[in-house]
Amino acid sequence: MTSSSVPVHVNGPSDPSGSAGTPAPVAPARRVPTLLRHGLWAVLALVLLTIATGQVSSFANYQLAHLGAVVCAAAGLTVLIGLNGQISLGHAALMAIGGYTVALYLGRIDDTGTPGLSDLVIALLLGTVVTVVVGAVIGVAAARLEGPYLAGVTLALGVALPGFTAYFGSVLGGDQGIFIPVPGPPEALDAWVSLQRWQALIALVCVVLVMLLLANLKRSAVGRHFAAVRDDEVAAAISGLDVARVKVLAFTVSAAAAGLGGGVLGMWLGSATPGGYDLYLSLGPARGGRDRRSRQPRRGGVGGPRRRLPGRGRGAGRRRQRHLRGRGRPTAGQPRSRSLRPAAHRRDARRPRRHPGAGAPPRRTAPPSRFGRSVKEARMNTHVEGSRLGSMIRGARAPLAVGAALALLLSGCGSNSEAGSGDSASAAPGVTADEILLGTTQPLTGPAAPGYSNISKGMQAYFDYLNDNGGVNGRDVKLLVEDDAYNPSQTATATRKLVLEDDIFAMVGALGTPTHSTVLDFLNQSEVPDLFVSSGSNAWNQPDKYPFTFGWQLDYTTEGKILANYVKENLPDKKHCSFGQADDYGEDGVKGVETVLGADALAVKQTYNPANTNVGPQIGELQSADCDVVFTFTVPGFTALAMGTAAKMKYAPQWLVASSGADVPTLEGFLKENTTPLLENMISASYMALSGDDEDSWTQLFKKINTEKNGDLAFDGNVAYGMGLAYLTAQVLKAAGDNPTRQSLIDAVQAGGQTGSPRAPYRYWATDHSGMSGAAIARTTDGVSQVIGPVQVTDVGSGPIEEYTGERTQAPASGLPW
Amino acid sequence: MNRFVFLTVNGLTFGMIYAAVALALVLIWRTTRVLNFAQGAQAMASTYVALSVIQATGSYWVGFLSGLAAGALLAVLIRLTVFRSAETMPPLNAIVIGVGLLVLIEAGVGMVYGIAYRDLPTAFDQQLYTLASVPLASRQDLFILGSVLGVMALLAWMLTRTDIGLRMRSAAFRPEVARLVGVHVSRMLTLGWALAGTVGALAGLLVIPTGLGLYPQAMNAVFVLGFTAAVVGGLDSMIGAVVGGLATGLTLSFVTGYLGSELTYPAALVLLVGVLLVKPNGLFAAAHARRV
Repeated sequence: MTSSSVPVHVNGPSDPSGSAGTPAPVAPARRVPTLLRHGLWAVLALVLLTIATGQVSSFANYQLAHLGAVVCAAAGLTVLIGLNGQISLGHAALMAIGGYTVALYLGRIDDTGTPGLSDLVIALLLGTVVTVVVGAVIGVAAARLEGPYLAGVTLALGVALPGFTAYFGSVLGGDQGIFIPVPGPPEALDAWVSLQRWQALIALVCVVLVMLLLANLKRSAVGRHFAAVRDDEVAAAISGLDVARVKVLAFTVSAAAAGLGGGVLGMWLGSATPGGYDLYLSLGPARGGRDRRSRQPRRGGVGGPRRRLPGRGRGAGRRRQRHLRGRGRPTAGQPRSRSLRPAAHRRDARRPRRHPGAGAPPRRTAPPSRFGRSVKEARMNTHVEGSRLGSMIRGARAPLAVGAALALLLSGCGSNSEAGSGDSASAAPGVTADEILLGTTQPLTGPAAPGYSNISKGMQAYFDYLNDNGGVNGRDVKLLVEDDAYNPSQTATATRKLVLEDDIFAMVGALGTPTHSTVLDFLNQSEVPDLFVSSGSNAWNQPDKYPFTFGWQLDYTTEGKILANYVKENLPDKKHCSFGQADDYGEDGVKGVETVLGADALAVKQTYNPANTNVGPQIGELQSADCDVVFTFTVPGFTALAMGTAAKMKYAPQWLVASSGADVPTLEGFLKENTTPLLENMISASYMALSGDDEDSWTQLFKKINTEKNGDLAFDGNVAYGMGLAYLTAQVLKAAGDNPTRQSLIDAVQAGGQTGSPRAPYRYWATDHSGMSGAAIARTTDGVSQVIGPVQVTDVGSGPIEEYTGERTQAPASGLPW
Repeated sequence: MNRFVFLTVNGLTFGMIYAAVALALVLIWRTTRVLNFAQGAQAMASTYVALSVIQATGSYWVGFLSGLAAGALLAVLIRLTVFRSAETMPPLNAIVIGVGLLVLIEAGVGMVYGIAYRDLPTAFDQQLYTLASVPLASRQDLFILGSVLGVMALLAWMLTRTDIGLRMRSAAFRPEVARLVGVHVSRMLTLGWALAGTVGALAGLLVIPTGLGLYPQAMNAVFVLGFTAAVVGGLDSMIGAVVGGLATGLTLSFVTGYLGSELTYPAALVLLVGVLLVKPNGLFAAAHARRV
């Protein structure tokens, strides 16, 4: 029995004098009650964290809040997997329940007044309670299932989440999610505590609370019951435990932590969206939580494949935080000596890897006398695996969290001086004597990247061209492109990084509705110009609520109206149907169609989920309903799928495709040699130069720049889109004056009068931030789209559709807007 | 009625593909107790190889076969490097390793081939034959049904009727005894991985042309449904994988057709929970439900 080199608080009250096989070397008189000990740690942690959050930048605080959310959930997951041996891959879904509850509650308060701290506390509690209820229900099912089957169910739960939010879209807001009005710091603190720091503090309080409760739980009889069930269900049952009840309880406890974590995550994100709680989130904590153990050398014995697994009984020490890197060497046969020295190295995060050797009493995880050794010995079922995880979960939760947080602070934030304060006397953030720094978030990886990743290439190319020609008022325009993989929580982080760390002057062309929705409040509260969002949602045009945000492309509703108007005039007596993406794109579009044709005009309304490429059932429905005219609000891939599937069924309706899904060069990427026959006679809306129309001066200009700057990148509608957006950006930057400020930029946009590649004029003034106002109808013949009608303009409401008679601006020969 | 027939055929076709993915998972789970979360990514990478060969040689079938071979090779490589030690770890470790590998393969393929959608040709014409004006199935659909069924029959024959199949089964079920009687256990397990890799690659080659095209994440959704199918069928049973695959395919087709696309994945969840509540180890597992 070696004794520890570190002075220790020994040991919880629950240890009946170390009867687990090793005599306790310390006199009972020196024990400190567990709760008190943990409580002291918690207080210490809180004090340290409060101080720490004051020392670091806003962005680091923001990251801390994120960390706090994940740590809460991870702690719960550790109890479930580590202490009780059940697997869950669906904790993100449980977190989502917490997040959505918080969102619904705070949203409700927001309707009548401004939510305060007490509302936030109630919301988080409510989120936890609701998640507990759901968790208990799932736990009952889970208790019957073994590892991989449970993994399957929980995985399916995580994957099904977006479906549920879409199905209950009126309450849960579908893909876009629901906005969470996060209360800022109370007035008394307002002067010293930034919003980011306030959120970090709330998150960290939650973490400490969760850690404190879980650490105590683990030390209690309940915790030992968890471990006993994990180690051997049969033995546990023989000892009189109700195995099922213990498992359900573990799942419930874990759900509670996940629910709270989800609530905190929602607060951090500013909204509850399915994308914010995606599968990677479930795996994230698991990754952090469990992989350490994988280095366990296990060989020996007959060494066979894993059937023998049950036989190996060695715990490996481990900690939970992925932020504590590089810890210790797992030595197989560490002396089992330290078994009674639990609290020992708590404060040294790198240290406490204890390996109860084979056969050693699983220190403090099993009740000494009841389960002690027998638990370790009789292992028959594969669940033991959990045990090894679990035996390492030491009680040292709270101190470790502190360590984790500090490590993060030290590593992440060392270099960071308070952002935003560097703009001394000079103009605005992001503007120097020879440069204007802009930022954007785009999907450069992930499923949305093919196609859309070309938009930022178009923007980049145009700005390069601009800089070659002298830039704006003598300053080069530099664009920072952050990849968000079309995942809202990544957008949230990337946008804050751009604003708080990189100190950009303005956001420009950030892509996507569900993604950009999460940062609307942040950008507007930070008073960062948020120009020309790349999506046709109506959300960007709310000048009262979001004075710094401006839309760009034609909104989906207006597009729907213009397409419907064509049908009303040319194909009125046919059977009208729709096929749209199951989110705001499809819904807004259909709304526009119904505004013009009447609420019951669409006989069949089919939708698709972008995650499922089998659209046969939907197209089959359209066919069997004999739809003659199909309004299609799809992204290009699904336009191609819909048409291809229909062609296979010998079904040839008149397709009317919204512009986002109708770019011929992009569709050609999907349809290949079938492009010309399949697209024949397709009607689409076109709000800017068609990328296949070589007669158009804008297309000529953008093609020229693309060849010059992007080399062999194929020119398509996405490139043109990015360039058109960059052209407008250059225009408003110029108008913002020689010494642009954020306010002068906003004023310049709101002054209106911009011109560019769109067919109809821009709508930018103080009360309208929508951007493009209209489109023309185009028809595709022989693989080429051509405009067949006048440009029409209208609004998103029930306003009339009118012909735009003004002349369209031609592209300047210089390629510059001045 | 027409609609019902159409949805059934559609569901069976996709069900076969899910069955192939499930089969690949089951093959590995049975022998090594590893849930291979990188299965979909492996299939995706194999399909890229097939595409490259098709483009280089101009022959679909040469590409098809090299895709299958690449699937086997990649699986062997993965088993011998990362998963060999994972076999002795708790299942969750293997899952985490699989997910890591999934990310790695997707990123690697993205770096080599780019992220654009690529078009993989089909073996046969996709024009649907109609029966009494109901569009029924295309030759490609028949090929999907036939090839997956054929592969399953081949596997069943191999595992139950051949010497090597016997050795594989012994290595999987009684490794110590197998070793004592001279079976090279590890080699047999690697062979199991190779078979799984081939079946997974087959699923990839069949499903990619039905979707948006080939891109690094193309197999993720298919993998999730294949996993659902495997769990529904009972992870230990090959017949279960097929039945689970068909059940999943049909359920999703009917739900999408009659109820709406939002409910596709919730339906998969309901199917899974429904089956597991009655049979906690899947439809075809040797039943020993835990008494709870």
